[in-house]
Amino acid sequence: MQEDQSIRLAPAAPRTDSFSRRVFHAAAKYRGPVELGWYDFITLFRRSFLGPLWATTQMALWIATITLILHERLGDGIGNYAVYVGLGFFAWDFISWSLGEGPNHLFSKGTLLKNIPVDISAVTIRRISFLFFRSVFQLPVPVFILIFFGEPLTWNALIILPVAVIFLINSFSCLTICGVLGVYIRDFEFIIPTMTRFLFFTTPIFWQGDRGVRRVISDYNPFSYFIEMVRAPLSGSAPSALAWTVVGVITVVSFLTALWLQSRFRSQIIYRI
Amino acid sequence: MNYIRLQNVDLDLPVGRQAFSGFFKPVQKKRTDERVDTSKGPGYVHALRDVTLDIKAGDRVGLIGVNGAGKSTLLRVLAGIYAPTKGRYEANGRISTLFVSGVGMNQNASGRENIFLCSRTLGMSRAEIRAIEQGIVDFAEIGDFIDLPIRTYSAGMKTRLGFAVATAIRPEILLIDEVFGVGDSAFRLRANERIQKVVGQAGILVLATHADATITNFCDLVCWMDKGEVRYFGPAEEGIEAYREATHGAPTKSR
Repeated sequence: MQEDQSIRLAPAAPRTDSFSRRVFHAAAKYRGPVELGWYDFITLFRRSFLGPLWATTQMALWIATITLILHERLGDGIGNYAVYVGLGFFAWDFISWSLGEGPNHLFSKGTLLKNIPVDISAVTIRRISFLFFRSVFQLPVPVFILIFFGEPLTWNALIILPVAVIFLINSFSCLTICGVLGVYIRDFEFIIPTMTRFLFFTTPIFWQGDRGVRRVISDYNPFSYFIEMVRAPLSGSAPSALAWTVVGVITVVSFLTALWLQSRFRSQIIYRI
Repeated sequence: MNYIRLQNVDLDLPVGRQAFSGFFKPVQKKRTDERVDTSKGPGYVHALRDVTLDIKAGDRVGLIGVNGAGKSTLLRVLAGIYAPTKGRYEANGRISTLFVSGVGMNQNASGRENIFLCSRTLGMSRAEIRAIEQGIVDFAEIGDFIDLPIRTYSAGMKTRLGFAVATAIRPEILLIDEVFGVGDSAFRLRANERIQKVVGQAGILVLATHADATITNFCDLVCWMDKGEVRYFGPAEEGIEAYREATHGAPTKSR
């Protein structure tokens, strides 16, 4: 009956296309997953009163609580400490969710992957999109803190844009690596939450790695540098060369590892889910 | 031209680790079903063995066989979801699958939103979705429920919606796994019509079912699966006959 209303899909990108056309096709292909991620995010709260504002509320409560309880110990004034914790916690939350979602994100989409021929990368992009929109809703909290307590922004603040891209790329690597490992080694489902809790306390989020044991812990924890990448530009300075190096190397190595894992194990993942 | 070709396809499904399962030692050490291979580690299930199929444009294939014969697994291989452990798989044509109802649906989203979500998952653009949306709503006959969250739907309504979406994209290869059981008889009739129309002349239909009537309605070929192997692949009439004789002992009326 709906013969005239049913349509034929556009053919996939031919392999002989120019690079720019291929990029365009890939972008068009991933627009769907990005929108689906947005839907995953908003429908999560559909039956609640506050809706997606719960993401904002949770973040505000965490930061307010940590600031109120711990600001005196640092003796740096409640405003400065709020900025320090606010930015640190905002960045950490994205990292910890990327890690935490990893081992299960392919499993949770198991029905989809097993019944419709979709790409694993499309499922991963969908999850990153979910995490991205979650962060967008959390963003008002650090912005509010910066407006009220922060130093005036300098041009260095613009560094936050490439940093955001770096965070998204790392989220892809993280979800893919943890996702593939999680399919093979189910222990990851339990290892990762334990590890992120441990990392929350060993990363300078609510304490400063200025001296002694703290200094050692923060210097040798790669996540410190990721946090610094967010904190520094918004506090008026540029991230240190060391931070750029550590974050750069991790980003490149993990991204290549993720791509390799995805192509190497693509076919074997599905029937292990 | 549309086609699916399988050449000597083997598929081993890994069982995966089973920690602390040693509390219950297996009573029977010797396995009698050769598909279950526990000789090394947690082992494998040899789900498909040496499957060779050549499905050409215009073929309508009915997949038959007892439970656990490998029908659904074979469908997943045909769809390109499971990669064969051994052998070759080749397919040409846009594939649509109807394996489980409600795939890609979000319980808290409305029917209309779910049309969007499912179609987007299948790779349609916004414009394409807009073009087919009303058709899907009409075909699924969901009425005013379309703007309610689908957790309020009956199982049949969800299946109808999923069916309408999956067939709206006009696949060239349609793979179906026994979704006919759900839905009332009126809808089943319309679904039949829609499948005939959607698959058209050059399309391929592969349908796994236990109902002989469905096979006689739709299929000109039958593929009889038995313990992961193809026991028969050829004209439908003879295939059903042979299958019935083997399973029931004597020819019976269709169920």
